[in-house]
Amino acid sequence: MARDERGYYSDPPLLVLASLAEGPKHGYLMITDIEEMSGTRLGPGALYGAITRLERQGLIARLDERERRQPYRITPEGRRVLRAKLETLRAFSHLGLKRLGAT
Amino acid sequence: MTPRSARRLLSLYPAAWRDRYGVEFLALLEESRLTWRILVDVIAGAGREWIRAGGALSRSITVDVVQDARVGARSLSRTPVLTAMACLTLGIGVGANTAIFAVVDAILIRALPVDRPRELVAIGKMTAVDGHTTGATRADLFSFPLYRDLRARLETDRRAVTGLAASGTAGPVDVQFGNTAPGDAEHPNARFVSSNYFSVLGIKAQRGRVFAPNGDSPSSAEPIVVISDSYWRRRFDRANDVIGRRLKIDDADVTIAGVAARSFDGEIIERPTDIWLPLALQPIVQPRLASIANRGTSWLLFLGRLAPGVTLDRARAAIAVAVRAELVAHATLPGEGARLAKLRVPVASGRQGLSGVRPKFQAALVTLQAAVGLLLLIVCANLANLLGGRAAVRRMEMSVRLALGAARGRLVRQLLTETALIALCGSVLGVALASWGSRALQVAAMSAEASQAAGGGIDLPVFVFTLLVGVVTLFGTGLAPAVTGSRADLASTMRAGARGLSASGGRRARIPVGAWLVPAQVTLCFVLLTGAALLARSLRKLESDAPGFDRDHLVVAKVDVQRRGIVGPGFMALANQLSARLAALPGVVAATYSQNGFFLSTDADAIVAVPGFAGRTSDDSLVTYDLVGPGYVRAIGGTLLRGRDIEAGDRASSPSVVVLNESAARFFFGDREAIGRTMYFDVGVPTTVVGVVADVHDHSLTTAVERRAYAPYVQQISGETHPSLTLSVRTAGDPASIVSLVRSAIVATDPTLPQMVVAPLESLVSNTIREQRLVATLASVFGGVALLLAGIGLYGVMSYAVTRRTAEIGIRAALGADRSDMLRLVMADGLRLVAFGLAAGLPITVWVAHALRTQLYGMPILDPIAVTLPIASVLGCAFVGILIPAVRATRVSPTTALKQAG
Repeated sequence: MARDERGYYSDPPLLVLASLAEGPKHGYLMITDIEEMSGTRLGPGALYGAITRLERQGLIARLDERERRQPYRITPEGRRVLRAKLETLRAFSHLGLKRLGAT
Repeated sequence: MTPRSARRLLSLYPAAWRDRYGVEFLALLEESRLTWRILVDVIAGAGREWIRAGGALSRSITVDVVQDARVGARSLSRTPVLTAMACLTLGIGVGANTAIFAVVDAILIRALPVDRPRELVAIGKMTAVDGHTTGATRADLFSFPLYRDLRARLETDRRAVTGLAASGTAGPVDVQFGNTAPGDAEHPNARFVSSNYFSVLGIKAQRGRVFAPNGDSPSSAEPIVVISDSYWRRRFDRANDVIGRRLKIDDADVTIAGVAARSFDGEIIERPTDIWLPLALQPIVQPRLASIANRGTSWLLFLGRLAPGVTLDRARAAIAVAVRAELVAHATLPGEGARLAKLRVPVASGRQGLSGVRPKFQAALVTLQAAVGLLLLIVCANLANLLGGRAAVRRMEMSVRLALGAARGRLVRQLLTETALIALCGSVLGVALASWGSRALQVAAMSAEASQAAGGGIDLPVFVFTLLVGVVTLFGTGLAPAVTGSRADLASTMRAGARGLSASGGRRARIPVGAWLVPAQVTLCFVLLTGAALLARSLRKLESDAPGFDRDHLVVAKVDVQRRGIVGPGFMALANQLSARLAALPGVVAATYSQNGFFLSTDADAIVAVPGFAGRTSDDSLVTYDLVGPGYVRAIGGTLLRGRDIEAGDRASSPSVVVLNESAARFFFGDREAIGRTMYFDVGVPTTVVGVVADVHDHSLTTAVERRAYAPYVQQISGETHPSLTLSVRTAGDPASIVSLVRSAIVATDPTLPQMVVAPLESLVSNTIREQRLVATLASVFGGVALLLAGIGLYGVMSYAVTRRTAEIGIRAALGADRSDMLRLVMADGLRLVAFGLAAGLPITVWVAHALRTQLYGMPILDPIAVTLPIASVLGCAFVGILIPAVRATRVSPTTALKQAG
């Protein structure tokens, strides 16, 4: 993963949603999953900032606690929001890359 | 990281967040390595949560407040009259206090914006800031030679002051810029000041320079001026190149040397100075005015800076000694030294600068401030009454809400919110009233431009203070009913309500506890109204009394002969020519001229010797005089008691004659005949008394008429040559209608003669009683306000009382009581309170009338109208205030009342 740091994509809530779209995870798993997925390693503060926000917005929800690690799952509303955001990103990246002359 | 470090980091988060995410966050932290990056990340995360928590909290508070306000507004709107009255009451209280205090602050409290203002000492008569007199030397207004001697003496021994500055009126000056025509000259406020004026006051230039202290020698006077910041802004639009600009002031070409510090606009508080001229430049600026080298020309006041460690009292003594010594050293007439040695030298603190207005208004302003302070107390009492009554009426609602499980704190908050809403509305109203009122007051008390200079009228600190007082009082008055109201327990309230009696469940109270406030209000209102009526009546008397001349049919025209340098025979010819032309105008009965004229604040006095008369004090030989044209007494509409008027036959070559006023004739000759007697004026020429005229209030309506002599202008009884010409034109009809005719007649005689004043005399007269008018008007306004408040108070108390007695009244009605009986019953309760108030007010009124004695100008202290009118108004207003609730009481249908009772 030796990528240029400037190429990282960092929008913690979106990253969290995308990570949970695959299945419920607890915090540490999310961090590693997100790093694998996007190359961005979220700190605990940033991660829980995103979790707090998403939970309040009803886009993710808790599963039953197992030991101290609290797993979260994505809600149907969260899926909808994630899909909409990613569609926008796709259209945006498509257009952006076209302007750059990339194939 | 270690659990310990993790817990530390977690503790940075808000408690609510920790409760929810604490455990899992700790687990995550323990799985992470402690690096700088993680540290920063966690701290930033904690910060975000705090911000989010704060936002949520403030949102929830806002929601609550908005909800409370909405409920409060709805609740208040159910009692619109009461709410409006409470707002109006508070608005008036806050507004009146702020308005008066703004003026009190501007005139009485605020210190000059100079360096260490407490060290300043003012020497001379404050009311003479525009004084310019010739003749006998005085100890309250000074000449230029006296200034130089005194300054040398005081600044050398330094026992009283370390610096002594002088300033004197420049009168109205003509200022021309560059190539403007003489007719387009401007007339800014200018003042002559000594060269050390700025250094004594510690004022620096914000641009250019101020005057450098020098000997103030006219021979080496530098033709420069300093302008004020306000003038720089107004006239030059803050032009950067203003320094070095040339202008012509009267006859002198001068250069602007500097702009004074921004905050400073002169030492005279009621009239900001635009241009400061060096004292030594006066002979060049006004070459034809009586020489400033003359010791008889008094026109300067002094500001000194106290020497270190010297108290005002010690300085006062030292300065008085020095002034008298200088005056005596230059006495010219035999026996004058003894008179001069006894003169009082006014020395006061100069902290607040000089003011002709302050001494006149001081007592009045303090009185008014005390009155509005009381008014505020009454306002608070009234509010307590209104809100208390309201809270009591709502006890039932409160106890039901409590019984249904409402939190007590919530109810208190609700009641307080309602109070706060009233405070807000009242304050907004108060601000509006105060800003309008204080501006009007300042314009009335000072001048339009001074009030402009004083800014928006209301000082922010003043307003905040008054607002605070209002809000604190309001909450004080609102809190008690709120707390007791919220404590109401359902059962006892229901029981009390059922009995239709006092909600406190105690002794039957027909009139609520706060009712003593009503007589107190009536008392204050009565006292204020009587005071106001007395002042208004005395003003009316001043406005209508015959002042010894025909005040309704005179036009006064002052022309500037000095500027034109017209002296000697040419002057007399011009005077005669002008008065002849004016006398020939249509609608004019007679026209004449004199040196000083009427109400123009110029006067002259002389020392006379009268054979057979020995004065007890040296002042007894003083007499004020005016040099007049032929037919003077006839032309002004005066009453010749004996002898003859000054006539055209009195020429320079014929024997000297004089007409005395009655005061002078009686003073010098007692009961003996004055006609034919001889007096010696300054120059020592024997002068025969040829006539006695009834006293003429020619300079002030409010002070006693001085001993006065009228002598032919041509004969110049005094050695002073100070040509000054005022024309008096008496008309058959409205004098205002011929003002323009007079102007054109003067132009026709001499087109270049500057016309300084051409106005109906009445307008000049009313200027001199401006402060009396202001005080009378304000006192009347406050009296009216107090009346209104008393009415509101009575209304509030009585409607409360009636509400409580609804059941009783209903039962009485059901048992067959007459409606008029009911009315009488309720009215009697209310009127008893009013009677108490009036009875208590009578002795206080007598005392107040005594205190106002000096401002009544000969009115009887207990003028029947001034006493009966307020009583009638108070009774009338009270009657209405009581009648409304009383009538409502009689309209209560027995069934409603009984239902309530059952």
